[in-house]
Amino acid sequence: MMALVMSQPEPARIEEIDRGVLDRARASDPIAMRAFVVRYQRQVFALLSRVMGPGAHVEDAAQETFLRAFRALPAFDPAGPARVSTWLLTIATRLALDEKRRKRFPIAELAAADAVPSATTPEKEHARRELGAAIARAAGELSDDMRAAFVLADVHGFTMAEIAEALGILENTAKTRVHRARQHMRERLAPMRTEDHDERP
Amino acid sequence: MSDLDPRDWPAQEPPADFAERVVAAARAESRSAASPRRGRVAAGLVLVGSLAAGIAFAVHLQSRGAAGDVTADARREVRVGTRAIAVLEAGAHVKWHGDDIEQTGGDVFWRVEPGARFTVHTAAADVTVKGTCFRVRVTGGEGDMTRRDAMVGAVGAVIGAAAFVGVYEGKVAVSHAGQSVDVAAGQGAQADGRGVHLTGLSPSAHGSAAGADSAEPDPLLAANANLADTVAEYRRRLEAIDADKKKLEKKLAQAEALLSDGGSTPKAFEVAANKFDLTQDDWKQLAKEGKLPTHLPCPGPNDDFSYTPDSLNALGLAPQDGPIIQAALKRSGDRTWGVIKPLCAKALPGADVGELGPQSCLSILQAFAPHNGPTSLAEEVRQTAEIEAGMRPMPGPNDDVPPLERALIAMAGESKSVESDLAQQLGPDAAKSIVYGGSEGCWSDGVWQVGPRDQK
Repeated sequence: MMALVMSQPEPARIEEIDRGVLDRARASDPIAMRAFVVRYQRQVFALLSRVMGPGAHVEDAAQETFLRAFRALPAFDPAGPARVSTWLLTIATRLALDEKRRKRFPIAELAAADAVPSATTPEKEHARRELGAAIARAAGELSDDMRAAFVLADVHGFTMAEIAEALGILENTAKTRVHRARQHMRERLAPMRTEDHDERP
Repeated sequence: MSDLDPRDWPAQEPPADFAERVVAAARAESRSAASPRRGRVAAGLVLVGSLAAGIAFAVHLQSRGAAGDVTADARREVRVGTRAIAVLEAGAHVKWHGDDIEQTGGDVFWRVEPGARFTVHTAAADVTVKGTCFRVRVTGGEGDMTRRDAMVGAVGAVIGAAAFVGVYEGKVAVSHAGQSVDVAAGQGAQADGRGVHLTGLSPSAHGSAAGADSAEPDPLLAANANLADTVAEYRRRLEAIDADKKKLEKKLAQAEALLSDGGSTPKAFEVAANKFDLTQDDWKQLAKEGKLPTHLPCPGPNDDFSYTPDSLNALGLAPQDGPIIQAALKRSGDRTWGVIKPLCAKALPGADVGELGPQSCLSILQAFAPHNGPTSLAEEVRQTAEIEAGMRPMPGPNDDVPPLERALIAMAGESKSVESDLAQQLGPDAAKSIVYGGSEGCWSDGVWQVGPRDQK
């Protein structure tokens, strides 16, 4: 069931923003713009903090992501093949990778972020925190491009074609990166899996 | 066994006011850059030329209907409604819809551009201004103020509430419960349960929010001890913003001009005020070049198409000509909007296009153009210039004309229409002087042409 991680369970699909609100945001209606940000801000922060590592730079990058999106919204075709979330997270991914190429951010500190879902018991909560920290450590060992591909595929549910588009690479290259990233994550998280098995009654 | 789910990977959460800050930044950016940029991104059609008036027009339109609700956790500057900039001190709370403002608490420095009635409602008083810089500090009663209290200025409804108003430019009226006191520059007023009292720029000693009998030092006096420095700082910041805006507008106009010309167009149309007074031969040349100049009146800083006495004087006109000009320009705006608005409504079924305004609607018509490619857009621009040149008949209302071209036709011919309107009332020379006279009044100038796409 754990098999793994990377493909199970299905990444949650984001409920897209209402078309009417999107149209109003395209026309710079401030209330619609705010609704747009509220709808997608958690996904953008999640992606950026996982690719760049948490910190104040994530907030800066998130703001810049939305500003770029608002500039480009009039050219975005809501009737086209791209979902709004895919389009927006593509902007965020490119921005994060550009920033990463210019500066170094402390990926290892990802485990310190405080957004672990609550569990039913303190033991499970502890286990989840450890798991989250382990995933963060393992992901921190990936190259930036590979980590981005992994995040897009297994956290945000991008298809290979969408990952290829977001990273500006061929679809086969995207497949290779995601495959290698998953392989790395499986290997690094194998001890967690063993522990998990051991805990079974 | 629980799944190992990558979503267990911790993620950073957005701060509570993130969306609000992003929208404020986006709107500040759009005010600086003006809307033609979006049009370029959408379809490669560029608007070039003297954009200052156009930007003012776009700002006016885009800010119409703006609403917000801000509580400052540190000193913060926000644009409020259509004409005001507010600098909120930590803890201050302001909410607004258009020019309908409520300040429910805290200390706010206001700068309001001249124009129609502008009122800040507080629990203790209503402050009505006519183009001024002033400061409102509200103490007591925060959170108790209801909308109705604010609207009726029911001071007594919020026990213990007090408002201090200091005026640095212009004049305001502080009113509550039927009493109204004019406060001029250099004066202050304090409104509380005892009424409204004129003070200096510091609040009066007897009217603090804590009550008249309190022996405690007035906290408002202490808070305003460094008011002069604070005001000076606000002034510097506002002037810096204005200076930056002007620089950006200039750079934008230069960049757009370069982009449109591309350095490759011989005999490029030169944008100058008098060059919008075009002959049919001019239009023929422009059709060849694929350019379409537009020269339209805009509402201006007072939002009413008015000319100042100085502008009238500069044009050699009498003060009584002002209302005639204003009415003609307003008719011109209505004519143009009367064409663009239904096209926009058709492109955005169900949307309240009245809130969008012409500038946004033009961007939408570009983005939604059925033949959304630079070739067809170029053709629409050229055909419109040919209509003005008399090389092509004016299409009838039932002819099949693309929406954007229909809008361009309306805009291209409008300067002649308003000139003709004015000529009937003020004579041809005065009409030419008003429409093509250069720097007086608010005119939105541009040259439409198809240029290279923005790669961003």
